[in-house]
Amino acid sequence: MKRILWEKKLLPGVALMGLLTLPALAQGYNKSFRVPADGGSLEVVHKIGSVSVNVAEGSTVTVTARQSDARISATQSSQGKVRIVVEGNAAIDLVINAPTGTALDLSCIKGEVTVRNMSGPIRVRNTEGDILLSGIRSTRVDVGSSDGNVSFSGDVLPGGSYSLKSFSGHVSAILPASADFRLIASSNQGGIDVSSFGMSLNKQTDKQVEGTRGEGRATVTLWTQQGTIHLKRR
Amino acid sequence: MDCRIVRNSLSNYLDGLLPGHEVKLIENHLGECPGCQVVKLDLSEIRIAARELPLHTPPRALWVRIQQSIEAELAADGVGGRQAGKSQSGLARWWADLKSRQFTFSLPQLAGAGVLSVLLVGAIFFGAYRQDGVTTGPALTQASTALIPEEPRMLERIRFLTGTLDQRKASWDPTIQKLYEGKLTRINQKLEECKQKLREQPGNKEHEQMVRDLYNEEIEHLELFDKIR
Repeated sequence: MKRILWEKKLLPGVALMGLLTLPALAQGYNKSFRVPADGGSLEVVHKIGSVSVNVAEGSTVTVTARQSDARISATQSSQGKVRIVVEGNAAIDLVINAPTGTALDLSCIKGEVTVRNMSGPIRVRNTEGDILLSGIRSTRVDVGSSDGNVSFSGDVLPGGSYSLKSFSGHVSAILPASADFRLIASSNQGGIDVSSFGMSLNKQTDKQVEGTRGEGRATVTLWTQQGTIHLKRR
Repeated sequence: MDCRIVRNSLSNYLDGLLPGHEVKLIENHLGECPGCQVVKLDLSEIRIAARELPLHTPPRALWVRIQQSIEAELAADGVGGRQAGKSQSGLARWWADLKSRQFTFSLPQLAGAGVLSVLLVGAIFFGAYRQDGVTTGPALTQASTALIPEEPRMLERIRFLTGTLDQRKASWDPTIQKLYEGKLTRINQKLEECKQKLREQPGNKEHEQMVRDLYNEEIEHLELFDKIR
């Protein structure tokens, strides 16, 4: 009798509750902040795991992590700045959606950092892991990785400053054919290839290349100790 | 190997006075400990700076005066005074001589002695300061021997951050610690290589820029780890 009651009434109930709670568990961490229309600023301090920043419609910054045990401290200052700090040592993959003009300051010890289609100032520091920037339309880009590759694809705007650095990884930049900039490229051991861009070179050694394309209205700095440098045309 | 032991032995290590097995122990430790590596680099620079200091020869008049006072004493004791003195107790005779002696110094001599004392006290203080691993003080890196103008300021920042992180890193996850120390060691090795090239070719702009970039790389690395809790 008891067995029949369990199978016919309780079991479906338990199964239904399980199905309802599953999405919540799978979603892990999720938090949103209202930010100024221009995007405001966002700082991330992360230890282990990836960070992915994508464009969000409207004026909301959303932070999500798949891991249900994520120890994330996400706060907003009275000026509207959002600060996300991952505590503990578990690997956490952060996905952040923010207005395109948000100023980004991302620090990560170990993990890949991806930024897509953003147009505010971008600063990224990473010790181990690649940094991939694509569809960028910003006037301030300053990214550096110790052991990862750094790649940039986006526009070069007049007056802009673009600094891409890696200690032991490769550095590559894909820029529009019409880009107007001054180039300072330096690789101590890996080699420099800027041949796909026609430019007047002021200096060319096996370790350093300096040149200008157009009037040199922006500055592009590419630096690596042990990797190669590639400058390509889109 | 304990950092304090390594730091106390660094001077002898750099002078090449240590036996082979101790050299190996110290080099193994230096390969793993960025803090000691910074101390070693500082000490190397101090040694190089000391080597470049001009030699100051005392004025000839000083030796003449010393000679005259010795001769005067000998004359007072009689020609055989020195020989006779050997029969007395050496210490008693030295003390008696000292008590009876009148010391006179000229103003430049006193000023010179004062400067020498200040330098000596400063050197002792700095040595103790470094051995304690306290790194927040003013950069006593010899500005006059800096390889690039920004070097003293950069070293001061590096010392400050290294001092802070040395205290905190024990609480980090081993993976994080390994990344921190591994990278720091590699930057310092590369930095030392580039500095050596610059010393061999002073004024070489390319080497200067490499040294500058590597100092910046080290500062950024330390600042990144300074952010985590």
